[in-house]
Amino acid sequence: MECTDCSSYSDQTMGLIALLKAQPRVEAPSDFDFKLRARIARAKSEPESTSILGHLWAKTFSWGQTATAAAALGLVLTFVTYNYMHTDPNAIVQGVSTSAVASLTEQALPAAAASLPTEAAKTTRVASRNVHQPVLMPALEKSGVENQGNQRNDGTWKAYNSEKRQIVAAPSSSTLVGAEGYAVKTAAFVPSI
Amino acid sequence: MRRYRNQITNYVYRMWNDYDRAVDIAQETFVRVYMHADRYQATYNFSTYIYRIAYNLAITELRQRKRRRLIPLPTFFSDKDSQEIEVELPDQKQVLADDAMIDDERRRAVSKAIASLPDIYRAPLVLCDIEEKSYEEISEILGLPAGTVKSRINRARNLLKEKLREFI
Repeated sequence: MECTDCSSYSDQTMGLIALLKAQPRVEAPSDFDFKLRARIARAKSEPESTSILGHLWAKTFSWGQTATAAAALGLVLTFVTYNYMHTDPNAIVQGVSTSAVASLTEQALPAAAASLPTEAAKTTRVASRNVHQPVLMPALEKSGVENQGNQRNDGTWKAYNSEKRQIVAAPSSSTLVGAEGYAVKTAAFVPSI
Repeated sequence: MRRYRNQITNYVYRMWNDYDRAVDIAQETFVRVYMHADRYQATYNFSTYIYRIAYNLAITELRQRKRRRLIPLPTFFSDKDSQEIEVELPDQKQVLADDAMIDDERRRAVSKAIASLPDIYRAPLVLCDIEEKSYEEISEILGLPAGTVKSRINRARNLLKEKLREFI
């Protein structure tokens, strides 16, 4: 004895399948082969890589996504530009004020750095990298550094060359550029000179 | 190619419910088969291989169409899945008593009902009940386990029963 619900369900399913199978089948148009051959010939004539990239572009390109990406890029560029325009280049090293560095450069750097403890000398060395050379050079000249520290009687400077790891003699005219670096390094590594 | 062109065209037509687009996708299927013939592996039937390419192309096109399409009005009044658009079935009393007309209306209603099914149910149903493929073949074409295929076909039939109650 069959269940009534099951029988009804089965009948409905069979009826639906019959309905679906009764659907007429569509056929390809008469010029299907002709158009297909033309399409294959066109696909053959196109380079493979271009075709793949073209298909990928056609599938993935979206105006909405492009607009969103452009807006995001614009925001990032604006933020970076604003930060760049409003940042003091001399305040890059945190904890070292530019006035402190300037006051150091006003004095004779070799002598000042020689009297500093090691940590302070390091700080001065770091800070000195961020100070423009044209500002420092007149300061050194003005402070009368040529008569102090490492200048010798023959008009040359004694300075420690960190690359060669030795004390070298250099003409005073040439050592003025980057002199604060020489001086600090000299103070840090050979304080007795 | 001649053996499969009508089958593929019919299959894609049932997926798309748009004859011109179906012909276009069927041609693209054959172009892909021809251009990448070296990728065919003889581990499964050529029929399965070509149906799978057609299915992938049809699904890709359907997804692109969904992304671009306008929102149809019925979705504003339905809280169901947006893919399940209610089919307006003709009132039997108003249908003319002409057999040809009745058949034509029935065919249209069935086509619309199939087209209104979600993609995941439509593809296995068309392959099973219209293209008359076996569960194993459908499983290979869709890349799904046989159990999933059976459950989706059953779910698709139940959805169609609801939509086509007056014709069954």
